[in-house]
Amino acid sequence: MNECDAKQWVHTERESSEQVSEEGEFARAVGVKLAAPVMCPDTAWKTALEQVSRVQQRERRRLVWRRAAVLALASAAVFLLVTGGYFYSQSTPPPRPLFLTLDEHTIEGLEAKAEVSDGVAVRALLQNLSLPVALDPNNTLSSKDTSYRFIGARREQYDQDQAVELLFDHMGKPAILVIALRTGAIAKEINKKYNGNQGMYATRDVGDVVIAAVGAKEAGAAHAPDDLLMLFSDPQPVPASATPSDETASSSSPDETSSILEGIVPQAEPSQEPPTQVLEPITPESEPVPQTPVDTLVPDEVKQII
Amino acid sequence: MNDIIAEIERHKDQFYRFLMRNLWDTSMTEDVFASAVLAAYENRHKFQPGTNFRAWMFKILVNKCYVANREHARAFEPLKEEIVDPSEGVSGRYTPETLITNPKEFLEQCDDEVYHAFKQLSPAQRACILLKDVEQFSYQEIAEILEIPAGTVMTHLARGRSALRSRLAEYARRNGILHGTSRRNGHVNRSSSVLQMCEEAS
Repeated sequence: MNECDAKQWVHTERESSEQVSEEGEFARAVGVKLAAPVMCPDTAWKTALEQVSRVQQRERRRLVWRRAAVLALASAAVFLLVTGGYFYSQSTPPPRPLFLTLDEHTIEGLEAKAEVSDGVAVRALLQNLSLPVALDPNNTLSSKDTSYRFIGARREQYDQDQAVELLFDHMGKPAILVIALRTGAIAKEINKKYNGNQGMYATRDVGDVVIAAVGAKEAGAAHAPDDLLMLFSDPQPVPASATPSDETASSSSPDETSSILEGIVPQAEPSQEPPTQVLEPITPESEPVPQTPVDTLVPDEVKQII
Repeated sequence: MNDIIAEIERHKDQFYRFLMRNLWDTSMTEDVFASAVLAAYENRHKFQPGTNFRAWMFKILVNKCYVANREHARAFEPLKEEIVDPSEGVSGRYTPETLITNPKEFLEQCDDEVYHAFKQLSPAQRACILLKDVEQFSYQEIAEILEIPAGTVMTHLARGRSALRSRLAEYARRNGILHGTSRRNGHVNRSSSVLQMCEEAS
């Protein structure tokens, strides 16, 4: 910047400052004039407040409706959940009665599952579950002569119904007697399984109780699991399909298994003669099946006692 | 809610005055004021506590004024930047120099014509002058209120004041308020057409 430019610059600065000063004076004067007080009329303020009040009322109503809608939705959701849950529970089929199969059972497994193994406890268990069954006094099993060994008993529950399972070792394979009330869900499953021929070996009705024999029967074997059904005294005729033969019954001394099971049998008088007929397992393929073996085996004296 | 209404009530005279000065049709002032209060209430959640409430409210007022003036086509008529010769037919007791030396006294003589001339300005110029010279906002605040650059605010201010001076000088000349010649030499505001004309007249 030379001297001439500098002078011009100074001149411009001075002009600018004067211009700003004059602008400022005029602006201040205009400001003072335009800033003359103006009072907001009460009517204007009231009008504004009324409009605000209307909006507030509208917002309150909207809030109420919104809360009501949320409440209604929540109620509807709860209702749907409850209703849906109810119908789902009604429509859901009961669980598979796994206890009526031997798919996952072994001798070791039955021994582990057994809850009680002495006669008194088994009888108490049956009494607790109101299962009135008694061992047929004529049927005694000998572990020496027969292939059955009593392992123990346990409680089973299915669809709010209870049963007692008597666990056996049948020729080295597991066998189970399921004892349940005839009016319960377990009895229905037993009937379905038996009628459907779905592996149910044999069943027997004893008064209000149904007993199902669950076990594997090998072809050509001398003994079948349904022989276990003869352990119980039966006031009613045994169904033909579940009736084993007694032709091969042989006498033997009571063994451990029979002594345990006798604990749940109504005690006979000591003077009574010991049962002479002993049920022995048969081979269904080779021997014909009698119709009413138990009734014919039980002496009249014993029947009267029972 | 009550905070917003209370704040508005504190400054309601200022807000009402702004509308009175800015609206072309002053009979709409009450309606526009109520509408602005309602808008402020309905948008209260947008106001950030701790910030400048007046600036926020003036933003609403400016928008309401734009909307209201738009309904009157005249409000958006471009201002004619007429170059007026203040010395023409002067016979009053004030000289054109008075515009520079004692603008306050001159404006008092113009009386309500100041408001009339002010309303001849464009909406942006009116808003800038009101916010700057009356409400004492800074350039930056005005820029934020009007949502325009600060440089544009300065431009509106300069042009608005210049136009206002022209209008007032014309009015003063016609009504015999101005007379005589200017004795000032040299220091001329070249951006002001009125003063330029004053100098030329001298």
